[in-house]
Amino acid sequence: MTELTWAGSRVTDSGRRLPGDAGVWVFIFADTMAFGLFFLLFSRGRMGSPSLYRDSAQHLSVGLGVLNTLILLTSGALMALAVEAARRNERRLVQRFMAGAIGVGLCFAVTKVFEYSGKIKAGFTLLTNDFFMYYYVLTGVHFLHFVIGIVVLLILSAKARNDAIDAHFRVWIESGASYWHMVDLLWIMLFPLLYLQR
Amino acid sequence: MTARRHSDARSLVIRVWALLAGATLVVGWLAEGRHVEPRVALTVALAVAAFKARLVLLHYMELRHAPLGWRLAFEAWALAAAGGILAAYWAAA
Repeated sequence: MTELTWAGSRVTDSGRRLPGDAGVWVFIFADTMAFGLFFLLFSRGRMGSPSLYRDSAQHLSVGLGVLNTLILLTSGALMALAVEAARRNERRLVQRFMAGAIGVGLCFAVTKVFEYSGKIKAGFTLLTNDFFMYYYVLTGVHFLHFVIGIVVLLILSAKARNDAIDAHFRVWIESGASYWHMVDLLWIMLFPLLYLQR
Repeated sequence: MTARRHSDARSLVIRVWALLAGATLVVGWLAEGRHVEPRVALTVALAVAAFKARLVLLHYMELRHAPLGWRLAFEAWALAAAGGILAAYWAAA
């Protein structure tokens, strides 16, 4: 049973449906599985030299990790509110929530640049050791997903200004929001993996 | 009725956000403050990560309304990711 008035993609006999486009979900699934593999590789590496990973993790800032988590969660919540507003055809609210999601989301880039530059200045690079190699590769690949997400949100924001808020737009915004929440989901796991295994 | 459903949907998003943010702050406090042993802090952090991932999956990604196979696949992923990291951590501890 569904609680909301759904519009957009296919609804199964039971009324159950994925938000947005099913193709986007296949991509999201493949991507989360790929990150699962990264977690496995990292954990295997860590089992080989736990003290090196433990000592290296001490150099990461838990405060910045928490801040980045809060930024992505807040941006994700604003995006969920934008989707909800799109279902009510409230264009102004869609635009406002999306502007909020993008604005808050961009803070992630600011803290990440601050964090990377601090690490590099302190002499921790991709070549320092295996831990920092994983740190830069995993957070770098995640950051690439973040950048794609911001571009998607900017395109959706332009569509919310120019296009009709109809069933077609709702498929777009639900798809984009699902991708954006995935960026958040992956960070939820990356944070303890990299910052908290001390 | 529809207006009420929408207002319920919005309040759910906000309540889930408060829960996610609160859980994140507690984990940060435990990890940073040295209030508990690091191994306990990490175990709590991964349990919380699985819980947060599930909240995002069910409520923000709306898998609670999705076909069961999709929902279970992602819930299994969250559990396996957090459980796998934790198992490897304890095995090396």
